[in-house]
Amino acid sequence: MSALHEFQTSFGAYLTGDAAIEDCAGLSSDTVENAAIYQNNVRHAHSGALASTYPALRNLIGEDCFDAIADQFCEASPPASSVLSEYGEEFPAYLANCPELSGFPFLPEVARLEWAMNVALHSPLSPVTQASDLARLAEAESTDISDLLEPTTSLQLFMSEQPVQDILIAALANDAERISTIEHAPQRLAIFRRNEGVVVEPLTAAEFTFLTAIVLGQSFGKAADQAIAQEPAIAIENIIGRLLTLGVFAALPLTSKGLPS
Amino acid sequence: MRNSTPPIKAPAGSVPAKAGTGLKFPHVDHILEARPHLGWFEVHAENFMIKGGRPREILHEVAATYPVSIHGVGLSLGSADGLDHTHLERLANLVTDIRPGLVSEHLAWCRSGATCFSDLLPLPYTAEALEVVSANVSRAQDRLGRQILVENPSLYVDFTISEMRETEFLNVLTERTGCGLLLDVNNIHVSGTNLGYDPAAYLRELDCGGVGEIHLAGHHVRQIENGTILIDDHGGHVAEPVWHLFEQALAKTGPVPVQIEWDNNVPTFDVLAGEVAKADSILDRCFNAEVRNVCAA
Repeated sequence: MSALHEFQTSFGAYLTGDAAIEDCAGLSSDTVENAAIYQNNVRHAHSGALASTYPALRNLIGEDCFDAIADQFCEASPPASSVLSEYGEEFPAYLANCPELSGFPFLPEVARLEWAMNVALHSPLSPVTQASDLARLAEAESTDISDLLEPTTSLQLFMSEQPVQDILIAALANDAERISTIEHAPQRLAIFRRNEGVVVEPLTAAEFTFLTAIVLGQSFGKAADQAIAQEPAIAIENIIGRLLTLGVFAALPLTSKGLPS
Repeated sequence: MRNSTPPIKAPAGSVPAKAGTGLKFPHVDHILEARPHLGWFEVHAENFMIKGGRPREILHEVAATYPVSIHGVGLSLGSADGLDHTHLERLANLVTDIRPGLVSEHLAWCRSGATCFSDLLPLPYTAEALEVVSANVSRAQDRLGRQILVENPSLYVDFTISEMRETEFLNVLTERTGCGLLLDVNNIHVSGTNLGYDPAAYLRELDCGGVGEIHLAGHHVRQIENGTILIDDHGGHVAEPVWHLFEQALAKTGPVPVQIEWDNNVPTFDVLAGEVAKADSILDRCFNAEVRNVCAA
């Protein structure tokens, strides 16, 4: 091992708390105490990255508690890349196993939703299928659209036993009173890019089932069958209409005449 | 002896010898709506590396109106492990996509093994480190197909094993690799104070012919048991001694793009623009407008 490699290995171990600064050969004794500044910078950068990705969670548990848990997580799972907006995917699972938070099952769920929003934000904004596209196809008596519908690139589907979106909205507003009045109910959500931001839209059980099937690559017919099995009274055209209005389907590959290419 | 063929210089005509600032997310809406008069913007590469997504869209919108410089903080030019292939490829993708006027990185390391530390860590200035950094800079320039600027770091620790001063290290690095320099004047002041060297002597020793950009930033003064330590926190106004040193630096570098860095406790855009205007007024006093409108190469 070269001298530089040896120094970087030992200093890196110091930064992560796995070695003492005395183990790092080559540092001047006059300034060695200042090495703690680097250690602090590293901790601050990593927990700060998590704070940027999980602002609602931070509001919910408070700055001090968040920083303490974030420090533990960062020490256990430091980032492998300096693209820090990609760091922290495992944080919700870490929270779920955190003894300090065991009485608050909604906290990991809020974090899971925030990660899904982060993924959507960093996904491309791509054209979506409009209801008018389907109308043109119907007028042209074209073949059915069943196997043309695909989810838009940024779409994340999210299901939780917790009223996670309601909690997130209240937490971002720092509205503790509102949080205390939220009724417990499961939520099914579609998360996707729209214009300059990310939207989180509640879905019915049938809509969620239909869209999940489409995301999994199943045919239109199978997706419709599963949605109807979920809610026998539902009209499938209503589901399609709502999902088209939301803008969760990628643009159909149409010719200039509006027909499938 | 050079490690590789000198790279092609950055395309001329992109970043003028005027003051600019970092693109901060809280200011984006204002910048895209009001299009304030400003020389140019710099962005941290790692904040825009993900293909697609809103951040990259914002950068495209800003780059359509303003000259842009891409400033990396994660390439780890000082890593004995060599450059991370994936990171270099992502940087190359960003540079190809945005076609910035300048690309810069740091004389530092931030990665060891599989861990990324997300800070600019100090290097001993040894012959071995010079070989490592030269090889890494050459590899980066070869992949990007252009010159990069390398920034002098802010330092809090010194090494008993260093074999040369930072200025000598940088002079040899630029000669070997053909890279340029990003002269961070605040870092000279911070490191000089912390490690006990004279910033003016630093400027005298450094070959400033390759300086393609200057950084200015605020720092925090912390009292410690044995005196004072300066923390390069980019969290406030540029300090008076740094403005003074800036004028001395300009006398050696000539007119180059100047960037105000303010990354923590980010103020309103007006406050930031005030610092930019102050830097511009100093450039005005030192150089005539005709010279300054020549873009940095």
